[in-house]
Amino acid sequence: MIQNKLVASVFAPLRLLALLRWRHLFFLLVIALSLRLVIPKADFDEHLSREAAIRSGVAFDVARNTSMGRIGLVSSLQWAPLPTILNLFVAPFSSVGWRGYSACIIGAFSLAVLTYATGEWFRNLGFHSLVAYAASCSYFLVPAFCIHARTGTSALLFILLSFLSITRLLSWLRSSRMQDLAICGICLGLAILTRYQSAILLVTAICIVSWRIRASRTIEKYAEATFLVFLVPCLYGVGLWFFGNWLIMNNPLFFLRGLWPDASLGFGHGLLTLLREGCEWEMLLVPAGLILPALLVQLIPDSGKRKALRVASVPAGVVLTIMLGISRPDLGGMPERTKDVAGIVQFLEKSFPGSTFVVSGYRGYEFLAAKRWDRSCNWVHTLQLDWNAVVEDYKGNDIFILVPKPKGADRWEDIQLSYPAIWRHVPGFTLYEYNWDEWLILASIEAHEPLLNQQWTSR
Amino acid sequence: MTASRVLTGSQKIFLFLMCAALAAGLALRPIGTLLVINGLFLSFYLVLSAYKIFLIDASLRHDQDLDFSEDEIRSLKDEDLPIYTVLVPLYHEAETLSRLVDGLSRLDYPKDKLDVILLLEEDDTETREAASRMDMPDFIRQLVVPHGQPKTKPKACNLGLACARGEYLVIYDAEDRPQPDQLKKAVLGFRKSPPEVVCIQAKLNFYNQKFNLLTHWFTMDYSVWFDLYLPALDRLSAPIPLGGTSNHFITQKLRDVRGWDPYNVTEDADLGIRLASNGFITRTLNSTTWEEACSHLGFWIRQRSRWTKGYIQTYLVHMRHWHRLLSNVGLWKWLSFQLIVGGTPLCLLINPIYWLLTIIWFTLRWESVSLLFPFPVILFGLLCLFVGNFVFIYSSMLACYRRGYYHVVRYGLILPVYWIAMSVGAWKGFLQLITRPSYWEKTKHGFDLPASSTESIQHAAEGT
Repeated sequence: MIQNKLVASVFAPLRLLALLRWRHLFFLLVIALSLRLVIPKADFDEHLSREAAIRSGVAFDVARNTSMGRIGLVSSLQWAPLPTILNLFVAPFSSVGWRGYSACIIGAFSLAVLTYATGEWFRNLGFHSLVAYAASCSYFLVPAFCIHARTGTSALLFILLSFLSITRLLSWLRSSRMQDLAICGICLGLAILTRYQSAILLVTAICIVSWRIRASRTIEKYAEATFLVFLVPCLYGVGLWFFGNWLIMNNPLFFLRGLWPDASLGFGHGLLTLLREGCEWEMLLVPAGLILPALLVQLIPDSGKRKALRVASVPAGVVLTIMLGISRPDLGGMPERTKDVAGIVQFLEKSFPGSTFVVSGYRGYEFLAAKRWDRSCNWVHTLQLDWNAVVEDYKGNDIFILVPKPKGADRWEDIQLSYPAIWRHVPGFTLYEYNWDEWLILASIEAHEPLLNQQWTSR
Repeated sequence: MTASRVLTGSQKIFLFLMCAALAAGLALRPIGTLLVINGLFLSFYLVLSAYKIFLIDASLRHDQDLDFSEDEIRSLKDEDLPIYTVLVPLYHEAETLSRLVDGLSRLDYPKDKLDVILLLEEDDTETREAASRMDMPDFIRQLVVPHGQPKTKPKACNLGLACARGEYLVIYDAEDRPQPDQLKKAVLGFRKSPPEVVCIQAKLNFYNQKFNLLTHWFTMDYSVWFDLYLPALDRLSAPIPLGGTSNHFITQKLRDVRGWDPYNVTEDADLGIRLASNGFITRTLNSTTWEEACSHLGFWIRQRSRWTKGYIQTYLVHMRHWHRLLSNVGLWKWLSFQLIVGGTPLCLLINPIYWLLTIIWFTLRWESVSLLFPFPVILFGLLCLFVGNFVFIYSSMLACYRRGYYHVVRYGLILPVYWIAMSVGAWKGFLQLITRPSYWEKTKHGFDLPASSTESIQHAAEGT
């Protein structure tokens, strides 16, 4: 018998098939379904979001161990680090991973886990597996969810982590199980590293936990231990992020530069703008809409009426979800695309072969994604544009700089790049400007060369 | 197979070849060689961390232990209970005798079915005289172990095994306080398990948790090991390295596998692997034996050095015929043995090297350190550093919280300091394996015991 154990253990993974349950099969199915959703049909660049291009670009530079990658990872208030870090794990396994496709895969997994988690949530409420899983699949009918998976934004990761933390907190309130509180804390910590605005969820959760444990104050150190179990994962995640900022930029709060949206706004309005900007809170309505009817039925005392309502709560949730999805296909905001970029690349390379094209800042990564990471010598990407250094390095070349148009007075996306600074200190050159949708193409051309046509404006 | 020899001839040749290859690599391609070693170590860390996370998750999801309700225990009739042998090895522990007898008397088991054997060493006149002066109950008898080498606990236990009258047998240390119904639970456990189950391991924890910082950390350590790892290994039916005391056996089966290895300083861990290798199963029991945590750092390091040395001995002994173990337990359990028995001491030994590298990199920013961590090696390294370490700290806190030891949870925040002490002990044990392989580092107890520890045990059980 013993001798056969080695042979048997080699085939042990096959035995796992016998252990497969409904929920495992469902999980595999939704993963396959959501991955199918993100596989590009024809031209990959058409559906890629700006966020996916930027995050994969930063991840690529982090993987190359360049200072640009490290600075890019910690410097942005908009691009919180977790989705970029996840790109590091996924991108190397895909030929187009570094171009943003890895972000689509992360989005697909987030959607699959969200679907699975909702199904499990229904099951734990006592619904039949088939009903539970069928209901949770309604996420796939919500256009906003499908779009965010397909374009590779991190909105679905944020929704997943927020959803898990909220539902686990609800479970803990009901059961007082330590595992629920621990998972809630872990998910909240990760949610904050996906969208900094999630900190508001943490504040709310702290209030709820405090309220819940007020009755157990008599047990020695219970409150302290409960808070530690809940808060340690959150504080660890955030503390690690402070540490990373300190290590790379010598300032633990570096990523918070320019936090306040507009000095002219009052505190209340400013805080509200801060919480809403770039954070897809509205998308949380979809999972809430799906589970809310079932949750409300739980509050009704046990009776025949409750049984009937319980049966009706699942289709009601599904209908609510689908209605919400169809009526608001732009829920959480439509993902910003990179489609202009491909056109600009084509135009410049065709019109000015042999010239040097300089792209900078986070948005510069969009061009590198469009260039399929062929870092040929005529495309230069830098996170912080130093105009004089560029002119010095590429002396004798026609230099084109691509910058996104400023969103407001002197407000630029690129680090340390201010619009007026570009026009100074360029002796012997004439600067021309060309408008392309939301981009400005700035050409530094020696004055006597009749290179540009009338579409270019001299400055 | 015994640990009387540290290495066999073939193991020596293998080790020599490895060292020669390493030396040649360092001489010819130093950076490349270091890169390979670093990659291997980090992969090992990653696999070990992943496996332990898997075990923690399995334990938190399901209650794995054998457990019985009060009704089930009450349903046992005294006349149906078998004779139970309790072995208590003693060495220079005269001061604990009265508490020991008190604790054994509290066992909820018919006294006429109890066969308690105090194993006294011939040269330990102090304990022998104290025992002879005491008015011992009838169910306790004394056995003198003849003086001779090796002078180890397993040698004494083997003598006890030879004289045991019980159908079942358990080992307790002098300072142990098992929960009174533990023997009955073990009887139920054996009766309700398949015949392959020949050993049941009860949980261990401490009644003097609050004594000092070290005892708090030690409590965390035991809570993770006995409440999270061992039950999960039980669920996987993987080889379980038995822990210290409170191992319940079917006496005849224990005799069949020839008892303990007198040369192994963690004879319990070795026996657990041997049982698995013979096709037997060890289960864990939801019943706690309260022990006294070593509260003195010097003695604690000595104890820890013995454990590391014993784990390495156990690993080397069972890897002498690795293919036999592989074919006996199967691939997955063999891999579990590699990680738990081989991986635990290795991890403790290489930890200081990586702590040093991390400190050097963060403070001095030596570029030569960066050379050893290209992508994706750096990714593995950061994952182990930031995620792996956090998981181990957090799981320690969770284990204490789950046991109701709320006052211990906060000490998890400074647990890495305890890891440093663990590594010091590990290196001491490793070096001692070369110089004194079978030397038994005796743990001194009784630093902080009150005259009666009953109250402390009650507090520990309630987590207050």
